[in-house]
Amino acid sequence: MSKILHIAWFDYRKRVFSKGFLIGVLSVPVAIIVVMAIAIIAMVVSEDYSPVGYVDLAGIIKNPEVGIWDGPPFVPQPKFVAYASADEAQKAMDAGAVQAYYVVSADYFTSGQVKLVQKAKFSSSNAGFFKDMLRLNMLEAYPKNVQDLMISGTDVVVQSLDGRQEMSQREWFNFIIPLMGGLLFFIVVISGGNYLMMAVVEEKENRTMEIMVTSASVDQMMIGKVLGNLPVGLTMLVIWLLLPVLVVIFGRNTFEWMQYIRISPDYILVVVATLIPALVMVAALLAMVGATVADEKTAQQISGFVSLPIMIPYYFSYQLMMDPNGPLALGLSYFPLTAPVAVAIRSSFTPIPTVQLITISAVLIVCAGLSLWLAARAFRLGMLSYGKHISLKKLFSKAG
Amino acid sequence: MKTLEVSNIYKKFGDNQAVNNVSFSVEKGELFGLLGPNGAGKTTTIRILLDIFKADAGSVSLLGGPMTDEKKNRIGYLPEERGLYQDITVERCLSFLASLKGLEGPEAKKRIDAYMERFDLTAHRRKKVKELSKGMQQKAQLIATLVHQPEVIIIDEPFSALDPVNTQMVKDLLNEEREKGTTIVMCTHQMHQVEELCDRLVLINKGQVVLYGSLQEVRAPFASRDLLVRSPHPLPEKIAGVERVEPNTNHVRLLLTPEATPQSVLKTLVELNVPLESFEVAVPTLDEIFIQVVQRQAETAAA
Repeated sequence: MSKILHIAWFDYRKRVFSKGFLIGVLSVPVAIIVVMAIAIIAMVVSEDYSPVGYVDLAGIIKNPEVGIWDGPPFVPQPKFVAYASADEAQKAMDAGAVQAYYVVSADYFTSGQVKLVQKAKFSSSNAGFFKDMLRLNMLEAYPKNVQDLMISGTDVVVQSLDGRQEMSQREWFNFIIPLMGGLLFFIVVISGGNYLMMAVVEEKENRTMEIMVTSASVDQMMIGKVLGNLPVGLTMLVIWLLLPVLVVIFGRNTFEWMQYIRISPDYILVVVATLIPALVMVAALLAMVGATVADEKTAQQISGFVSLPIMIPYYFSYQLMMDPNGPLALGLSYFPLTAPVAVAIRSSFTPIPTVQLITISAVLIVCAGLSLWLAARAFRLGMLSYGKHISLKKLFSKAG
Repeated sequence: MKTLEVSNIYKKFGDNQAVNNVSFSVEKGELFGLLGPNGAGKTTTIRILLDIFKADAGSVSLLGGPMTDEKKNRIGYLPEERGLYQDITVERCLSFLASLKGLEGPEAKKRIDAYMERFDLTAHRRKKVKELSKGMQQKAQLIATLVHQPEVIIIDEPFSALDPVNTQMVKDLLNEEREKGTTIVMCTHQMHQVEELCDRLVLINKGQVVLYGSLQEVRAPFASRDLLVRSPHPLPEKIAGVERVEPNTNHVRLLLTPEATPQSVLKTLVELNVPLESFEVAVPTLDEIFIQVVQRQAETAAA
């Protein structure tokens, strides 16, 4: 195995097989499961899913069980109970057999009136279930696809002028993918970059730099460290993504909207053109921080200057959505540290012109190259300065 | 055949001329001492010859030419700034460092196990490095220096943090390596260690070479005509061939007349029935020689 791979595997193994990594990886899915569990418990506790009565004076309802959502068993739904008259339904409600009752008027087909009699607060989800049930009974004679269309409504597809981008109401989740992509990029680059920064700081703190540079070249060491530490963030991401991917695979039949999830080739192009050079740039900048400071604490403090600007586009996400080609959106797209997330957000709402994407990508590639040069320089200057900071003046000085 | 040849190297850090025209060479299989007080420029010289620093001028030839990545596997280096990965086990740390020197697999494990046994570290192999004492870490670092069986060992202050037992063990180890034909450059400020171990030496002060050669060659210009004698009884006031008698705490120093020799004085003492516990020519120690050299340099500079 080459020295680069030895260094990469050593660093990767040291990170991934540590308690800190395990806790970090488990914390996110555990937090999601806990939040979901709390939400379900809150829904079950706050909503009243006891039976709901109805009096069908128009004679529409043949089957009160149609339209009842075929969802997971832990999400409760109301049962609809038929009564011959309003008096009977009232008695049942007074006796506590039903929480409320609907009266479908005899002239429903002309008036469209349905009366709801309730004792306490009646949940909107129960009302929704009743409306769907009533509609489906009226559409009984029609094929299933027509029934589904009438329930879900018309799907309006909006297409951009150049035809490169389409947005459908059914595909609402695809709006979120670039936004989530930006957030995931942030997590990967910051965690990978931080691991790389810490790896360099640790070499200084452990005073192992001299051993390293007399065993391998500085380039072998830096490449090994990049290859060993950047994938740590990716590993974390893959583990985190397994959960939603499994949800989508197994939930496609239950949740209709999941069937429309797709990642467009344009978005993949945006990712390749911006996120990859940005990843290299941020990682190199954080490695430079690691090489110039004396200890882990200082490195963490200074790294904020690199990591915080990456999140800035999220603070302006409303403005970016409203005017994705405005001056603010363009400014954030051309500034190297904000570019990846800004472009990702914009790509949800507008096609990014090819020339613009090439320019942004070129800026990022140049910055990535410059960052790597600075990181290597800081590394050479700082590698034997145990317990000392390297000043910016020295970093940029000609003789340094 | 010269394993290492350093020719007129210079290195300056800011206004400080750390190394100033230093030249020396080390023969194959030699145990060579690089001596000097703290701050003399020894570590900078070592870092230049290992290609960690580039010399401002001059050249270094190691194993027949400039340093290459391939040659790094043939060199064992124990730096003055000791360093091991603190948060992993001793065994894993040594295995990784060996792999960087091109030694891996069962052979690496076999050698690491053997060294750990020899250094009494076997029981601590699965402990994290930070859980070891300073002396044990020093021993682990020595294993990392030697495990790949280097042709050249460069070792900076090898006896720091070691107790007398472990100091002797390291000395034995260095002698063993020399017997195997390994070239060793030992950098230290402890001059008595060099006197005991080294074949030749270079002594650096303020970045410049002040003494260079074998121990005998270095001592020769400083050899005195004094004798150190220890006797249970007071020595006679007048001894033929002795100009002056200077009593010290543990012995008496006899300053000889120009025509006297140690042999003639010994013969006289025997004839005078003086009981002798010890009789030796007062060979100057490297410490004494160094002090003399520094004083001479200061006097020359003042003049």
